[in-house]
Amino acid sequence: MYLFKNSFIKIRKSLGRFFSLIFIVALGSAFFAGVRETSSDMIRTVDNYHDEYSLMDYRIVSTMGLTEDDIASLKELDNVDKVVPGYSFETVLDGNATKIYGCLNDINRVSIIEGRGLQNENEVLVERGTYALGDTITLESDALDFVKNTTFTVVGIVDSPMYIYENKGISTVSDGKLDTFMYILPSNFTLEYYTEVYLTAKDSVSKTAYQDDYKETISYLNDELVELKPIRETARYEEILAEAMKEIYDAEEELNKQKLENDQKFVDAKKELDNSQALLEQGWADYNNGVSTLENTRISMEKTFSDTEAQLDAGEKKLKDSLNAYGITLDQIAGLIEQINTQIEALNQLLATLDPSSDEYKSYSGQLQTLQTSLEGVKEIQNAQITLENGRKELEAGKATWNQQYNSSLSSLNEAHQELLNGEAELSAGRASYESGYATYLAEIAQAEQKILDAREEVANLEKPVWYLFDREDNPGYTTFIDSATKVDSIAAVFPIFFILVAFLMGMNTMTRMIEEERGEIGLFISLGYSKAKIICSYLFYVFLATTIGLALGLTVGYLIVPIIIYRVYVSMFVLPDLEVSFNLIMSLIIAVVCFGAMSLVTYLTANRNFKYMPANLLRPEAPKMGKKVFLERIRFLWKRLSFTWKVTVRNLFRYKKRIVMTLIGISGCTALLLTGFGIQDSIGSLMDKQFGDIEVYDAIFFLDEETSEVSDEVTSLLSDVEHYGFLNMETFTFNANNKNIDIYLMAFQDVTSVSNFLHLRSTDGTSLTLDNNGVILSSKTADMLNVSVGDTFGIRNSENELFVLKVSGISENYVNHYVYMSDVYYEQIFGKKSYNAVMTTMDDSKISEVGNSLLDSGYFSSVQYITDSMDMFQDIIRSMNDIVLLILGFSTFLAITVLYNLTTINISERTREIATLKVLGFHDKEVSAYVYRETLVLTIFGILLGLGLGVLLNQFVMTVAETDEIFFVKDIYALSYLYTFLIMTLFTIVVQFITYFILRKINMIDSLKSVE
Amino acid sequence: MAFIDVKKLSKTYQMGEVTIKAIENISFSIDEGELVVILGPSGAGKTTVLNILGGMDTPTSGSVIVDGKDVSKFNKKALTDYRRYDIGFVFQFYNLVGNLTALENVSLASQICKHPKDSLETLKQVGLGDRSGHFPAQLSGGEQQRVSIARALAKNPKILLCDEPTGALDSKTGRMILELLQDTCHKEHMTTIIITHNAVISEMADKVIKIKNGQVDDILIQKNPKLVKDIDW
Repeated sequence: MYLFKNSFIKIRKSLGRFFSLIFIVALGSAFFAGVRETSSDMIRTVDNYHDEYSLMDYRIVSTMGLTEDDIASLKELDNVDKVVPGYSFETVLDGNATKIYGCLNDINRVSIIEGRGLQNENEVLVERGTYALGDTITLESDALDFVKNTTFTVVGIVDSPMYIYENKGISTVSDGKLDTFMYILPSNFTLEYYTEVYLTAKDSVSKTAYQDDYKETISYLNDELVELKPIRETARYEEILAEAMKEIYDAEEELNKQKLENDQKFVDAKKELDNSQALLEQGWADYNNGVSTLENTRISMEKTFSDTEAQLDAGEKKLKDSLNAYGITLDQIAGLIEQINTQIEALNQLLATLDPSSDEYKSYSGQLQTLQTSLEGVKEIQNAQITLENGRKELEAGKATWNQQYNSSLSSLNEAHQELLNGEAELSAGRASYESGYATYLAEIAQAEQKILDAREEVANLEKPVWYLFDREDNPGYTTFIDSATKVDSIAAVFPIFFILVAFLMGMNTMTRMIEEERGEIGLFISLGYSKAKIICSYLFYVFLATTIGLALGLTVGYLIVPIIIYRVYVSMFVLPDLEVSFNLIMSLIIAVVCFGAMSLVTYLTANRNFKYMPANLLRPEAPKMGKKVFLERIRFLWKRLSFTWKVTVRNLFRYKKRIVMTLIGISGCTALLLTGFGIQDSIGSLMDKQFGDIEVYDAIFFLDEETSEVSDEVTSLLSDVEHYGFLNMETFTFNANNKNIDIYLMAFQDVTSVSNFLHLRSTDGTSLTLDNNGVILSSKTADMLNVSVGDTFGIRNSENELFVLKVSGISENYVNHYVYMSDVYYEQIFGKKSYNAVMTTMDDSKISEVGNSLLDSGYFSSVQYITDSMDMFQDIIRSMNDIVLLILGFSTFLAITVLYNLTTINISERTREIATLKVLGFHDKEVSAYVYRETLVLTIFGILLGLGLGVLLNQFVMTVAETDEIFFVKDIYALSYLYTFLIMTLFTIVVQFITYFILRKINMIDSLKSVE
Repeated sequence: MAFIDVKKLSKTYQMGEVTIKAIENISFSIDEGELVVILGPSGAGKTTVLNILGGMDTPTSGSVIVDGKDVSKFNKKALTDYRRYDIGFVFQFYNLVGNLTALENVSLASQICKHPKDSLETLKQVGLGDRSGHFPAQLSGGEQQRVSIARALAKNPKILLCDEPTGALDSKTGRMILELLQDTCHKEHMTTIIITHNAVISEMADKVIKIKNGQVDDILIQKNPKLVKDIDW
C-alpha cells in the first residue's frame, strides 16, 4: 500500500516526467489511431450520406429520351430496387453552365442546408454558394423547350449527393464544364419523355460504398442492364420509327386531300373568271350596238327634222307667194280679215236693205261673194300660216325631245362604257390574283411534298437511340474521394508506426532514467524486505497510470479530432457533411495492449536489472561510468586542433551511447518526417510541372461531334484561329497488369510530324522520340507495369474485350495516366480502319476560352478537354497535400519538441552533480548552458543530417505506396526542402535549448556537496 | 584588517511556517596564508558558513569581507566571478567529471581563470604527474581527491575551501591529503579553510573556529600548529 502511496508522491514530485510520459503515449497513440481511422471514417461518412439521401446506383440517359415502356421494363428487372424517372436539362444562366433537375423525393434527394423544399412550380432550390434565398432566377427563353415556367424564386439552398466535388463534370453548354445545378418541381417540365432514369440495386443500401461487396451487389444489376440496353434501344428505335412513319403517312394523306380540294377551287375560280370575261364581251357588243343605233337614230332624226324644216320652208314660201299674191304681208292678214269682215258686214247690211233682186243687189251680192271668197282665201292663208307656225313649233319640240333623248342615251351609253372598263379591270385583277394564288398553291404543294420527302429520308437515316449507363463512379468526385481516402491510408501505413516507435523509445528512456535515479530507494525497499514483484508493481503502477491517461487522451484526440482535421483538408474540395467519427474499439484495444505491453516490458527489464545487485550496492550511488578515450582521440592531428571545451564535448558525447542513439533516432525521425512532408509536396509539384509543362504542351483537345465523322473543309476552316492543330483518333482501351484492368488512352495521329507541337515525346534519358509506322510509343509507367521494352509486344483490349497486339517502338517519359501513341498508318494496320474523332490544338493563351466556345458553338464539336482542367485537378491535390504536410509538420513539431525536451531534461537530470560542480567552479550560466548545449547541438546536427538521409528513403517509400496505377511520382526532393527541414529542426532545437536554459539556471550548487542525489 | 572578516553572520531558512536559524551572529577573522579549521558536529551550521564563504549562498544578515570586498553584498554575477577567480573548492566527494582525465579535470577549472597555474605542473605538485591521463574511475579515492585539490589550486585562488576533504577517505589516505593541504598552505602562503567534524584535524590548524548550534563556540589560535605527520591519529 505504501508503495503505491509512494508512487503518487513520485508523480507529484516529478510532474514534468509524468506528463512527458503521458504526452508521449498520447502523441503516439493519437497519431497512430487517428490517421489509421480517418479513411474508414471518411468512407463511412460518405456511405451514410449516400444512404440518407438515397444516391442512385445507376443512371441511364438515352439519346432519345426514355418512355414509360422503358421504365416499365426496367422495373421488371430482378436485381433492381428503385426505378425513378426524372427530367433535367442544361442551360446557360448568368454565364454559368447550369443543370436544372426535376427534384425527386425517393432518390438522389437533396440535403436542404437553408430554407425549405419546393412547394410550387415557381420555386427553385439552388446549390450552396450560388444564389441567396429570395433571389429571383429567370431562365433564358430556350428553357421553354423543356419547362412551362421560367421564372423562379429561390426557396432553398441545398447540397446534392450527386455532386460531392468542386468539379461538377462536363456539360453540353457553355465551355463544356458544368458550373452549378438547380432543382425545380418535375411537374414544371413539358417534355414528352423522361431525360433520365435513376436506379438502385437491390440490397445496395446495406453495403458500404466503394467496398467490394457493394461493387458485387451492383454488378448483378449491371449485367441485367447491359442485357436490357440493346432491347430497349431497338424498341425505342422502332417506336420512334413507327411514330415518324405514321406522321409521314398522315401528312401525305392530308396533302392529297388538300390538293383535291384546292384544285377544284382553282378550277371553279377559273371558270368564273371566264364567265365574267364572256359577260364583259357581251357588254361590249351591246354597248357598241347601242352606240351605232343611237347614231343611226340621230342621223334619221336629223334627216326627218331637216325634211320637216324643208316642208315648212316650202309651206312658208308658198304662204309668202300667196301673200305676195295678195300683196300683203303676213302682218296685214289680221287687218285684212278685219277689213274684209267689215266690208262683208257692210255689204250684208246694204244687201239687207236692197232688194235681193236688184242689180245693185246683184252687184252687191256679187261683190259680197267676191269678198267672201277673198275672205276665205285670206283665212286660208291665215290658217296655212298657223299650220306652218304650228309645224315649226312642233319641229322645235321634236328637236328638243330628241336632243334630250339623245343625251340621255349617250350618257347611259357612257355609263355602260365605264362599267365595262371597270369590269375589265376587275377581271384582270381577278385573273392576276388567280394566277398568283395558283402559283403559291403549287409552290406550297411542292414544299409539302419536299417536306415529306425529307422526312422520309430522315426516317431512312434515323439512328438507333443509345442508352448510356452511368454508375456512381461516373459522378464527379466519387472516385477522387476514394483515391483521397486511400492516400490517407497509404500515409497511415508508414507515419504512425514511426510515431509509436519514437514514443516507445522515449518511454523506455524515461523509465530507465527514473529507475536508475531511484536505485537507492529500490535498495531500501529490498532491504526492508519488500518483494521484487511488489517493487516492480509500484513502477508498473506509475507507468500504467501514465499510459492509461496518455492512451485515454491520445485515443480521444486520435479518434475524435485527428480524423476531423485530415477530413477538413479533403473536404475543402468536396461538398460533404461533417465527418462521422467513431471509436474503433478493437484497434484501441490493440494499441492499448501494445502500449501497456511495451511499457511494462521496459519497466520490468530495467527494474529487474537492478535486482541483480545486493541491496547494499543499490544503496550506494551507481559507480560513475568509466571514462574512455574516444575514437577521435586516436586521430591525433584532429584531436589536437580541438579546443579544450570541444574535447570535453566530444568525450561527453560518446559517454552515453544510449543517449546518442535515442537522440539520433528522435531527431532524425522528426527530420525524416518533415522532409517527407516537403518531399510529397515537391514530388507532386514537379510531377505537374513535368507532365503539363514539359510533356503535354497542347492547350485543348476538341472532340468531333459524332455527325462530324470526317475531317471536312468546314472543320479545318473553323480551326483557323488556333495556332497548331492536328487530327487524331483518341480511344480508351484497357491493359492488364497486376491482375487489374487499367485504362489506357490510345492516340493515333493523322500527321506524325505535327505531334511535337502538342506532345514532347522523349525517352526517360531525354532523347526525343518520333512516331513511325512500325510500332507505338508507350508511356513509361505502362511499360514498367507491363514489363515490356522497345521491340516487345503487348496487348490492349477494347470495351468488347477484343484483344489487339501492339509493338513497342519507343517508351516515353510520362507521369499521369497511361498512353499509347501511334501513327494513323499503324492504327490502320492494327484496327483495319482510319478515322479521327478529335483534334489537338495549341492556342494563344488569351484566346483559349473564346476560340473554345466558338468551336463548340459551331456544332462540329461535341466537347472539349482543356489541359488547364487537368492542371486544376492537380492544383487541388497539391493544395490538399499542403494541408497534409502541415498536419505532419504539426505532429512532427510536437514530437520533435517532446523528444528534444525529454532528452535534454534527462541529460540534465543525469548530470545535475556535474553541472552543480561547474557552477561551484565559477562557470557562468551561459558557460554552463554552452557546456550542455554543445553536446545537444552536435547530436542534433548529426540527427538532422541522418534524418535528411532517412527522409529521402522514407519519401521514396511513401511516394511508392501513395502512387496509384495512373500516377508515376517523381521522387525528387528540392534543395529548398532540405533547407527548410534543416532550419525548422534547428529552430526546434533552439526553442528547446531556450527552455533548458531556465532549468539549468535552477540547478542548485549545493547539490554538488551531497554524496548521492 | 584581516584578510577575511566575518561579522555577525546569520542565515535563516524559511521552511513553510517554521523558521530555522542555521547560523546566528557568527563573527571571526582569518589572516592571509592562515590554515583555518572550522570544527563542529553534524548540523552545527559549518556547511552554511562554508557555502557563504564560498559564494554559493548569501547570508540573511551580517557581512563577509574578503580582501576588502563585502561578499555578502555581491549579486549573482559577482558571486560567480568570485567563485571563479578567488575560490578554490575541494569537495568531500571530489566531484570530478568522470568523463575527463585527471589533467582535463584540472584544465576544466583553469581554462576559465585569468591567471591559472599550469595544469600539469599542478598535478605534478600534488604528486600525480604520472597519472595525468587517467580517468577518475581509474584512480583511488585519495588520488581523486588530489586531483580535486589540484583542480582547486590550478585556478590560483585567493582562498582554498575544503569541505570534509577526508570524509570519504581512509585515515592513511586522509593524512596524505591533509599533508598536501598543509604543505600547500605553508609553501604558497595560500589561505586555506578546512571544514570538518574531526577534532583531530584541528591540531594542524593555525586557527580553529569551533561552531556549535549555529554559533561560534570558541576560537582557538595555535601559535605552533602540529605538522600532519606529527598528529597522533
